[in-house]
Amino acid sequence: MTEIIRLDGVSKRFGPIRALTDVSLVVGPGITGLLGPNGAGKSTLIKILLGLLEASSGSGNVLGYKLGTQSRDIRAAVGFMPEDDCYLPSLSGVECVQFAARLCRLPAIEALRRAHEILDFCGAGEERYRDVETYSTGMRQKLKFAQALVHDPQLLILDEPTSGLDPEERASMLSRIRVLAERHGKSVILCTHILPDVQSVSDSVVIMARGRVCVTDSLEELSRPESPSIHVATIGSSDALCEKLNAAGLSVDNGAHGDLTVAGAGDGTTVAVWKAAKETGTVVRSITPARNSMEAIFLDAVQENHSADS
Amino acid sequence: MPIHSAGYRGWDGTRVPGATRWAVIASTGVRRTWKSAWLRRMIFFAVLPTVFLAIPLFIFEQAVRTPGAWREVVDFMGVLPQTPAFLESLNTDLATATPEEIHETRHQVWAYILLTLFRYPQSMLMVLVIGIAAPPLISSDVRSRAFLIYFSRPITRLEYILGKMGTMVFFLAMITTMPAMILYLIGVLLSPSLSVIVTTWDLPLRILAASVMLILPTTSVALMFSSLTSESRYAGFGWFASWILGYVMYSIVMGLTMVSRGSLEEPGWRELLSPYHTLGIVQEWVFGTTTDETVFVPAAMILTVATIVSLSILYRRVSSPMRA
Repeated sequence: MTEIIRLDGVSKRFGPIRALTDVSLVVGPGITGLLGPNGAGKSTLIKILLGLLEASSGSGNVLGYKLGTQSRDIRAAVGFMPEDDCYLPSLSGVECVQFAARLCRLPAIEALRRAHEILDFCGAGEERYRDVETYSTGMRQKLKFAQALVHDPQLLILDEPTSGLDPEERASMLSRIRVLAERHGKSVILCTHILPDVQSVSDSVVIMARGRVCVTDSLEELSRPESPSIHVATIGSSDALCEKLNAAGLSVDNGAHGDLTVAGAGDGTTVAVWKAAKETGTVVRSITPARNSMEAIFLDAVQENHSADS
Repeated sequence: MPIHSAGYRGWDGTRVPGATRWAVIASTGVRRTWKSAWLRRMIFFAVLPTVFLAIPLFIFEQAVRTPGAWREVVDFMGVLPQTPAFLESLNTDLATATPEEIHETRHQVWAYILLTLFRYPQSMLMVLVIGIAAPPLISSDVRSRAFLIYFSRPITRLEYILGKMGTMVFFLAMITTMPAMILYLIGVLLSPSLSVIVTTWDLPLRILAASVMLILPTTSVALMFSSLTSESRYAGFGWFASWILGYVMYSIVMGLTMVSRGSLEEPGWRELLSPYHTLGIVQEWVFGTTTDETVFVPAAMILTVATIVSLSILYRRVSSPMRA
């Protein structure tokens, strides 16, 4: 399937408030980062995709199922991990995952087996037998992820999956998401405020602001700077190197921690950097092609949207 | 951590029919609710009235066979709460009665004993069991935002409500339908022959009807209270308050009537002030101990309206967290 989600002119109003305005969007397979500041309409968009809210106007489909009329089919084929801390009190972790599986029509015994299998995949240990009310934030995140995944959905919608996780758990969670997309063909909508997460796993990005889609493109395309340049990281001062490169006629920008961005690409620029470093005695830690940071892409998109509105 | 993990594997097994989703919610609700020690104790105590009311059944069946023992039946019935109409029916000495009179009296006595079970011990227990089991059923889902777990899956609001009602139906059937059916079975076993089933075949159906009349409105109202708040104690308070206030109001009106007229009158419409008495009127009608439709029809209407209004509010409240 080349189109996982297609939306055509979807709008949503809550009384006088416009939560979504004419959202048209095509999301393909792979991992798609859904970004936007608070109040951008991401949650409303997710609820419309799941059929929990009805769009005021517009049409669309998810996994080939029509929005509005085939909501149950959509929810059966989608795994949703909400941002909110939601759980079923008085049940153990494994019972919660089994319950989620049974709601998606897995037989009771098979649901229990599958719940254990998914909790193993999510790195949950013996704590799966404890009451969920005693769980830490990190464990609850794993539990929500397991509940979203247990019925083997084609599409996963993950709302802030790494929120509240320590660095190690965060890396594990991102690794799981990557494994699911790359080895098991799952499509993933990754809705998060943690931009490095999006940059590290996403294939494409959708940025929303004020109920509109500002940017939708592949991460590769968005990361490419307008003019080619290289990024030089040094150990110690880079002032002498900067002066030498300027003197050689290269355009150089000073970045944070003495890092330099040198305009131009190809072997010629790289050789010029090595030569200047040798002459100035500067220790070069790394030379990499410069990329637009996710932060820069995000801020540009949101600010452009603000300027367009005002 | 597992010693061996196969990693993620897809699943392509056969799914069960979608119509069972509400049953999943109901069975999980039963499992969660069953963890309450108080509830388990009450379910245990719910069987005791059955044992007690088996005694008049035993005495009645002895009186059928023993001349002169009828007086003992009448005396024992005097211990139970009675209606004048029922007392009048206990005038025949069964030792000298015709088989038709015996069958007719047996039906009346069994129906009255079953009604007594429903009307007094089990109704009281019902108020307590619902007061413990129903308040957290939806309010805890509101508090823990579990709505997202339910409704991000292919579950409709109706299935959710049916599932929650199924949980309550299970517990209420355990304390009303099941003891009444056991009591009926005891009656059959104590009787001279299994032929009594022919003359009392309608009693199991009346038990089921009385159970529905009891369970449907009470469950709807209790779940409505539960859906109105995220704190189950408030829902519990609302539930008990509605019963206590209704009973107190009925008692005050009856007391004032007695003071103003100087004599104790038939309660009539005044019973409709109390949910407990309103349910009692309908149960009496179901078991055939009263045929007075002037009181039954308004009582049935009140219960119907209460059920419809409660379910409407419940349906609306269940969707509201998703609209936020």
